[in-house]
Amino acid sequence: MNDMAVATSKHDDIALVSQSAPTFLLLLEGLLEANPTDSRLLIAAAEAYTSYAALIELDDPDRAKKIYARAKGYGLQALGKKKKVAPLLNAPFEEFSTITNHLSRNDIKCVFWAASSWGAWISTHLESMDALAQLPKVIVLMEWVIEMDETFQFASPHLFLGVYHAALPPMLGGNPEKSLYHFDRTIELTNGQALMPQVLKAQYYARQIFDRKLHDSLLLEVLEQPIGNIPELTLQNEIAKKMAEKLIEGGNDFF
Amino acid sequence: MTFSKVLWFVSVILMYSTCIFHPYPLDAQTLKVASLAPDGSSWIKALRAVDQQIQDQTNGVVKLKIYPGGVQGDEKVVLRKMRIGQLQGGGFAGQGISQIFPDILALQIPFLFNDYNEIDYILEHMDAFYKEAYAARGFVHLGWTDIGFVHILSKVPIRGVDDIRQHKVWRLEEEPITDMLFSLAQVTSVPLTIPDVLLGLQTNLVDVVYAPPAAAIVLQWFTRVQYINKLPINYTLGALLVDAKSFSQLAPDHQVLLRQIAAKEMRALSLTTRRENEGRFMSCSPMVYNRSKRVLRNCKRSQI
Repeated sequence: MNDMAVATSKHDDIALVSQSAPTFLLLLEGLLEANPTDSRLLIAAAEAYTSYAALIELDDPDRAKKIYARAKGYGLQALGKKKKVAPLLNAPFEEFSTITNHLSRNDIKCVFWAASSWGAWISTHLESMDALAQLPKVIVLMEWVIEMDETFQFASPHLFLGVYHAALPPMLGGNPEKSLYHFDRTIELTNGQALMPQVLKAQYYARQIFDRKLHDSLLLEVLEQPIGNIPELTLQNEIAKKMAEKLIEGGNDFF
Repeated sequence: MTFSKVLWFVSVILMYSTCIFHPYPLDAQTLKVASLAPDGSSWIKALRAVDQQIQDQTNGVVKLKIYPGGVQGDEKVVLRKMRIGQLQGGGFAGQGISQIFPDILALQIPFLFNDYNEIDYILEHMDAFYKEAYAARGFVHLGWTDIGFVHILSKVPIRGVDDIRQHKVWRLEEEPITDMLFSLAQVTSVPLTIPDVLLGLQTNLVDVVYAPPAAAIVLQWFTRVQYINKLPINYTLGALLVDAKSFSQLAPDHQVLLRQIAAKEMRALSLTTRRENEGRFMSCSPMVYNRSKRVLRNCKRSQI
């Protein structure tokens, strides 16, 4: 299962990967049918569904919403398999925040994908106060992953927090400085080989502080850079370049 | 980096995407409108709905360019930019509308309204008065937006004024009505700006705050309080305002269309906000103080 994920990350054809993903998802469902409580399968399902929903979201947001809900279901089911964690998932925030006392290094992957699917689900329900009320819980989990291993998934939890802190204006509690820290830390930890952090830094941080010069320079840099030498970043960097083109085009609409 | 992780990144981008492809000419009359509300929120969705409809109904001659998430600065800055022509409009949430016309604060006097029926009645009957007041100050008032009834949120049960007097109560800096109210009620308050309140709650600098439930969720104050009092303290509202000179440059029939579309969408937004606020008590806090029964009762915990 993991080999398949790694192989796709090395692929350079976005269309091929997106068209073949549903077959993989059905295979996973079949395996889960036979082993409904298998933690590794539940985590793999959360990961795969979150990823697939992301791919189709632009064309079919309503369908993506439903798939994120499925991903979140698997993610929380995996997390809830820990006896002491399960009752905390529905608890008020203060109680929930003790969850980290019951997590160990072995849980990093599970926690990351539960939080990622949960966060993605919230992001498609921004108009819902009930969904937004769950966001602080996701942040607690992502911060814990950073504490355990900030390099996990090419420093993805840092990237998540970079976006999160730039999502609100400072007068409503947003924090551009923290956003900048997390974006720059991601770039540093990936030795500049991952292009996505720069793209997201342009889209969220530069746009939030309304700095077009920074926005365009980050994106132009991405367009000029080669795909890089890390095979696992091939697909991601291909996507980052495409996104950078679109963001530059959209600059006039935003600024 | 796995394939799925890559796609997750894409989702983060797509879900916040602000790129909209307009099929209409670029020389359209564009009204630049700013708001503090984050992209994806009901407020911005309503503004985008206005934009889409005005473009459709004027064949793309009139459009809105929307700046969400406070990227153009706070409301004072947005007003300044409107005066110098950098922006033509704003979705204001209180501070801006009272800066232009302070009398509007009368609507926010504590305990003035008991429910939304009373509010709707007053806003309907006073509509012409308020629109003229904003027009006289150079603004076209395109519709009210609810922010909601303010409630007391606290770390300890608050049953009445006596309870409040014993605790550290937050007060919004430079906000005259609350300042006066607390003075009269002999409540000692701690003035803080909105971004500082969460830290104030975390560090026990304050243990009683107030906000509409939906705002308490967006600002995450609800994570640091255990109780919410159901008594509505005061009503808060905002408005969509456009610079009158820019508005007058639109063709007369386009002006009528924009007024109609905005009024319809802003009303729909208010109803959405009311729904968001109502019943959000349980998301805010596990404990709700019910004023009618004068008892504390347990509520269902927030659902995942």
